Amino acid sequence: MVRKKILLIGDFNVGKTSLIRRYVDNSFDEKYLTTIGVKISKKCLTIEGLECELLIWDVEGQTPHKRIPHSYLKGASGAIFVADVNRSETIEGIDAHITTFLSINPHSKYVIAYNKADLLTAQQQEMLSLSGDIFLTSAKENLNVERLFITLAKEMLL
Amino acid sequence: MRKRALASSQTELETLKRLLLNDELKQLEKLESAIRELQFKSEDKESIIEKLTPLFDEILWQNFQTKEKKTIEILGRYLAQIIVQSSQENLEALSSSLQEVISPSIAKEIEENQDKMVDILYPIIGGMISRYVTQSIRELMDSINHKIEDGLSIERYKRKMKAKVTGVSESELLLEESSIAPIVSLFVIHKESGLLIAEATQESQAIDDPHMVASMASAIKDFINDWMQTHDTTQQSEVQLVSYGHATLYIEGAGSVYIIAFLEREPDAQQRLEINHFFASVVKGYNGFFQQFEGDDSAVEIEEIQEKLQHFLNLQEPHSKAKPLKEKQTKPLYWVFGVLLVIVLSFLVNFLYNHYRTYQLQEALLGKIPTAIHVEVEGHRVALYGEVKTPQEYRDILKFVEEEGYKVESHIDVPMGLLLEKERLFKTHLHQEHQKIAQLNRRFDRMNHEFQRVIQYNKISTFHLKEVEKLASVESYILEKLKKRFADYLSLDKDGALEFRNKHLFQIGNAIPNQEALVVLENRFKEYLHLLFDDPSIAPYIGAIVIEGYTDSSGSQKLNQRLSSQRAEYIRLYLADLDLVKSYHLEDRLYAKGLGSRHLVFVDGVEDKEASRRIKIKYQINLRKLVDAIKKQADG
Repeated sequence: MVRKKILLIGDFNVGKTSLIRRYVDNSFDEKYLTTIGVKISKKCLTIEGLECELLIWDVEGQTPHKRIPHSYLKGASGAIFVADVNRSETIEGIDAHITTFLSINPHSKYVIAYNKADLLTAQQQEMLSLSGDIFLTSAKENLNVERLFITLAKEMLL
Repeated sequence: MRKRALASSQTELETLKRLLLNDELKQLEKLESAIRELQFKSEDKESIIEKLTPLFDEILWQNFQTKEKKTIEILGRYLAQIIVQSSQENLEALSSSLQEVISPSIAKEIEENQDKMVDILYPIIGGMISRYVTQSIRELMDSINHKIEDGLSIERYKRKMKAKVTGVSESELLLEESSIAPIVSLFVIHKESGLLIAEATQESQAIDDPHMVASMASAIKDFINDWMQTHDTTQQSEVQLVSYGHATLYIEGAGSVYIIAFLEREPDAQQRLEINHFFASVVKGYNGFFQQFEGDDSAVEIEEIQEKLQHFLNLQEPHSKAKPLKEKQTKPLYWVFGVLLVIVLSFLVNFLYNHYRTYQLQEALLGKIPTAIHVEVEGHRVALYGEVKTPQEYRDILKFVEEEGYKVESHIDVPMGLLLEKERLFKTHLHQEHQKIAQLNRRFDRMNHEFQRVIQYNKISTFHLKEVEKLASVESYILEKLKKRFADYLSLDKDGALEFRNKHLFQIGNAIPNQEALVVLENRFKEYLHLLFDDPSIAPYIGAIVIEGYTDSSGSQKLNQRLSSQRAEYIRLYLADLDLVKSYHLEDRLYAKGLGSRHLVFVDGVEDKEASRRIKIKYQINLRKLVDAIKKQADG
């Protein structure tokens, strides 16, 4: 089995934890490690016959009062950058997160999730033009959640 | 009749009214009753409050719902004021009322939003905990130190000796003695990703999900390291021990991995060293593999590492369980025995060595001299016991032993005849010592002589130096003397020249001086000469005596020059004829010099012509003589 460390990075309240909760049935006790700014979950999956275990680090958004150690980002094979599709500032902040992440892990893979799509109308959803590595997701309606993780896993493993 | 008819009609009307308006009348009565009741209620305060309160409550609630911000703003203005006023009037009642509301709210908030509350309280409680932990550790150390101070047991002295030898404090030794830490699990974790590479666990205490635990431990370690480096930028230290309840994580990093040992208690220095040694061997063997590790657990190396970990864990098990406390405590005793053993052995070796050398010397002596002499060697000294037959034998023994490099302590019995030999030897020795003393005395005398010479030289040098100083300052010395002597006459200029000008010395155009004035000049001149030539410290260095003649500004320069020369020459001839001048042999050293109308005398800006017609007498230093004298003194 191959194990990979992946990160979920994004501003506060963009739905990172909800995405993980939706995807990971074996969610670890969330209350654990909250004070140190990270929650860790685990998910086993098989990609084209290859067994894989993702250790998912849900890294809390940084605030002026709470700095997230860069060492959390080290050694990650991949990352999911999450934004709230209804809050433009969270989408604009993704570039900075990606830059930081790639400066530490230059060869790692990543995908982007525009979350909380359930709050958009069908028309608004259609109007969004998204490239290959950006997914419109909804943890609430289970929209593209599994696809998001599997795409990243494939990127990392294949 | 008419009245009766009217009364009858009234009754009928009433009857008719009752018949027709019965319902209305009843309603009217009810209305009257209702009005009376309302009138009563409008005047009753309690009834009004009872009616209006629900209405106001409803309005307030609706306002809260629809215009929440504005309502809070309005209430906020008065709320603080009300609280302040209440606290002034009845603080106890206010506290009690607020407590009833706030306490359950806090309890509820903690219960429902534990994480949030932890985040808020962490910075405060963290500091408090840190302080309490520090205090507790200090108290523990104090308690240990107290035990050390008070303890009178043998263990204490053993510990003291061990602390002195090893350099480890007694407190640490005491802690070490009390800690045995069984290892529950060993994890080897990839440093950057926090992925578990290999692990070994005691069968009885298997960990459910080691990979998750490894990741979490990695996160905790990173968090603590980051915190430490943020708060103390001067040190690049890393966390090594994390304790939680009865569990302790001992963390040791190297290269791209680190090892975590899960223990039941804090490991002692020895155990840490063992773990570190083991870990170092693992890192050394699999460094390349660790660097290339990308999360694939099918690699053969992982199995090998796991076996090594398990093996180490199994080795540790007896270490932690079977190693009794008693064994630990007896360690210092072993050490004391060890030291004693070394001391005894060194004595024994020394004894045997001396014995061997005694034997060797005894044998060698027997080979040389037929007489048996008892020998006792101790280091470089040798004691000789026995009796010799001849002086030659005695001398041979001494010579031989001394040639072997020993200092001899002779207890050999010598026959009477030999005593003379001993006496002769003693006298020779005494003579040699006398010679040495005489030699030393001579050296001392030489040194003393040299010393006296140096002192003398120093004295002479000081004398010469003073003389040179005196010569160098001879001119200023003369001036000082002259000033002191001629202070009353106001006739001494700054260069030490005597000046005669206010005694009607010369008439206008005349070179012959006034006779009365000439007598005064003569007297002053004699005093001048006495002062210069009676002092042997200055007399040798006085060269010529120069007599300068002057005129006033009247007349031509040519005439004035001639007149001044005539005046000077007249005075020179007069003075040269004096007996005193002859007695000093100064006749040839008197010189006349005319200076015309130069250096006129002015009083308040107007020329004092009588004063300008004057004579100056001054001495000259014989510089060559003076310099020669200085050189002579300087050369010593």
